[in-house]
Amino acid sequence: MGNKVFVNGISSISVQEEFTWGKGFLEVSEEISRAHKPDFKKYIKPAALRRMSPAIKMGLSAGKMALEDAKLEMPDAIITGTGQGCKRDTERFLTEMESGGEVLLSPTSFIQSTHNTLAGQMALHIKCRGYNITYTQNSASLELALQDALMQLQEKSAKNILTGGVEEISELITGFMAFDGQLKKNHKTDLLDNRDLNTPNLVSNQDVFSKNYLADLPQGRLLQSKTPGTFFAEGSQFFVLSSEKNKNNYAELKDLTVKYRPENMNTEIQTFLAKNDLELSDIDTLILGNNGDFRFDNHYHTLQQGIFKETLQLGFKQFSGEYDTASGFAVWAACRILKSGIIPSEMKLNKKSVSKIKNILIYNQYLGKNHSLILLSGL
Amino acid sequence: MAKGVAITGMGIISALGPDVPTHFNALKNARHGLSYPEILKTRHTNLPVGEIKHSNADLAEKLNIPQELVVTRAALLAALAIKEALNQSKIRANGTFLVSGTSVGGMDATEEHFKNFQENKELRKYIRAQHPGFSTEQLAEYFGITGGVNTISTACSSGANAIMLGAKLIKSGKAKRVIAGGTDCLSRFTLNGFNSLMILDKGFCKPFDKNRNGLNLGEGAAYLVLEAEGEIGERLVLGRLSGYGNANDAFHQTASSETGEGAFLSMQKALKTAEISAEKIDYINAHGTGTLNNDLSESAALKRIFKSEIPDFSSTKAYSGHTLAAAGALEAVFSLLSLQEKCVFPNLNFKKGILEVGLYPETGFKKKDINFVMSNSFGFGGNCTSLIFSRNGE
Repeated sequence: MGNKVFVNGISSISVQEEFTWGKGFLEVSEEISRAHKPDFKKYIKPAALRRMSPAIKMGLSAGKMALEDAKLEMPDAIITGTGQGCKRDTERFLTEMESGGEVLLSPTSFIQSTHNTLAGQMALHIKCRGYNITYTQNSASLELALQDALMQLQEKSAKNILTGGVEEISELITGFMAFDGQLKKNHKTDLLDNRDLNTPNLVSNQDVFSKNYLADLPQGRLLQSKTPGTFFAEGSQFFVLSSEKNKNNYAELKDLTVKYRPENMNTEIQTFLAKNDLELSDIDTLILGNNGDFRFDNHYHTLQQGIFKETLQLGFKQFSGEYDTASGFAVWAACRILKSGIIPSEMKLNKKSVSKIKNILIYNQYLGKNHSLILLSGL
Repeated sequence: MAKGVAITGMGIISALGPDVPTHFNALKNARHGLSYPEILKTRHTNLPVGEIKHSNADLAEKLNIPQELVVTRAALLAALAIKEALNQSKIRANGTFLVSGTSVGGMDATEEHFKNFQENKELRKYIRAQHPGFSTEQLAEYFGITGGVNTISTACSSGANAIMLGAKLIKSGKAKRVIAGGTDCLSRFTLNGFNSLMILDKGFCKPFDKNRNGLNLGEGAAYLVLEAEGEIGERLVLGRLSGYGNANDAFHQTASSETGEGAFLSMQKALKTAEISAEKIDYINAHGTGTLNNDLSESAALKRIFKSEIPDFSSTKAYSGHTLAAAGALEAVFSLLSLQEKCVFPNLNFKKGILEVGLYPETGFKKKDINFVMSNSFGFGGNCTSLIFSRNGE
């Protein structure tokens, strides 16, 4: 197994305000929600800020917030994950290219369109010349970034690694997800009925963005939805992982695994726990990635009613919204729970309680493809 | 000296040909594969590219992939290269990991169809195909890969980083067998992107030449099969990945620093993991894109690492074009060919050296004893990766 790995700094930019921990999360209530943005000027010079897409602004700020939290100036490596990358600059270049007939294009958005833009910018901003890499495996992108960091820290080839994920909302590319069943239709009718699941969404991008579907959704409704698709959002969570714990330390990152279309998740979980000398009963809190897409939430329901029936279960995507690196929100919440001992009651999916929280297991999947398990422990 | 991770299979496709032997012949005979866009529908028909002259339908047919499956061009190219690598190594796909580098992903499909997603239901299957991870998942399903699926996107160093991660997964015991490499197809998005940066040569690129004037884009895919010691048995080991180094230039989003700091650090780290000194390197397959900036910066870094004793080096970008995320993987195959065939490949289109650096790439096909080959890949975002390949006996 090698060295222990500790989470020494955390940060989160999401639909929720960062410092509302324990004060009650608000449920996402729109098909597409923008993140609650911090004061970016605290982290990025205004001149640079003007050219940056939300992904870069959020990612750079979240990265710097995590470093600040860990009181670390220079990590040995920067490892990022992003499933959909820099969508805004991608679609800007794409539409300019189309409308301009491939001539007189400005390179700015092309330069900023690559998936490694954030990791590169982070290196540039803090002058970190160490190991630098970007993973982009759809909903497992952040997990694979964490896995690389874990491997290096366990092998002692690094001491402190800044790792995190980012996804942004963009008008076109996010809007496309309304056409292929990823995004819920107008929830006002959608959450109430259960129509032909393959009916394409005929709402245009314009409609998706012009209608204001604000908040008439009672708490808990998203996860009980009986329709396809989910609510999308954006965000960035970053972590400072270290081989030595500091005073600020939140938790130990014990292990994680990612499986592509596993045959049996029960077996995968048991194998994973056994590898870490744990039994099912050692997991006192389970955080699940239910997102209200009834086609795929059965992956969670099977565990909820099966091997983890007696375990406290928490949900997070009703507060973070869905995005490829949303599991970062779950890791962030797990760290807060382990450090504070407080479980926000609104996260609870069942009525179990725990006296002392020790081991938190996070299980996430999207569209039944990449399935991840992340194990964190208190100290 | 580190033993290195065994490589038991390799496969490649580019404008030079559909397999490893055709690539070796092209490199040996200094025959490039550059042409002008015919398959790619673009107005820039005057820009040289390394284009594979097969339509997607042709490629899918070679692989027996039904038309209705959503497999974009990068995945088709990758599938052909992986097939060749698997045929050579004869491993089981079951339990094997797949690590793929790509930067374009399915952008070719997006740029063709995105305006019609709303009207045309049939095209909506391409919506998710844009994202790089999708193509890797398609490959995993095609080959029945169950170990793990991973995509890396670090621009032009993606393929090299994928191979590095493959070795790390094996060394750490997380994987026994890994298929690792990279794929990128030509797209109007990238062609116009590089064109807007004004770094495309309107002629054939001239890496390391005083009068170099930019790069030519190419497309292709290459994959290696990496295996843990216990898995090899009696099978042939083509060579070993004995060193790797990854660093960031932290200088500019697209340009490399004058001193080549990132490149210097990645080469230095690669030598360190290989546990060899710089003078052991017999051949360097340089990144050498042919842009003013890269070749100058890389030369500076080479001089810092190798001092006055610069080993034979050449860039093979003028053969295949710069295949972006696939480049590091293509050049890994070339490095293994250099070890196997004991040769240095000629750098095409070189006439005059860059005066201020005084470095001269090898311009002829040269036979010599080769024990260690270094391969450099640098990309946007300051991402620099160097790999060191060695002979099995070394």
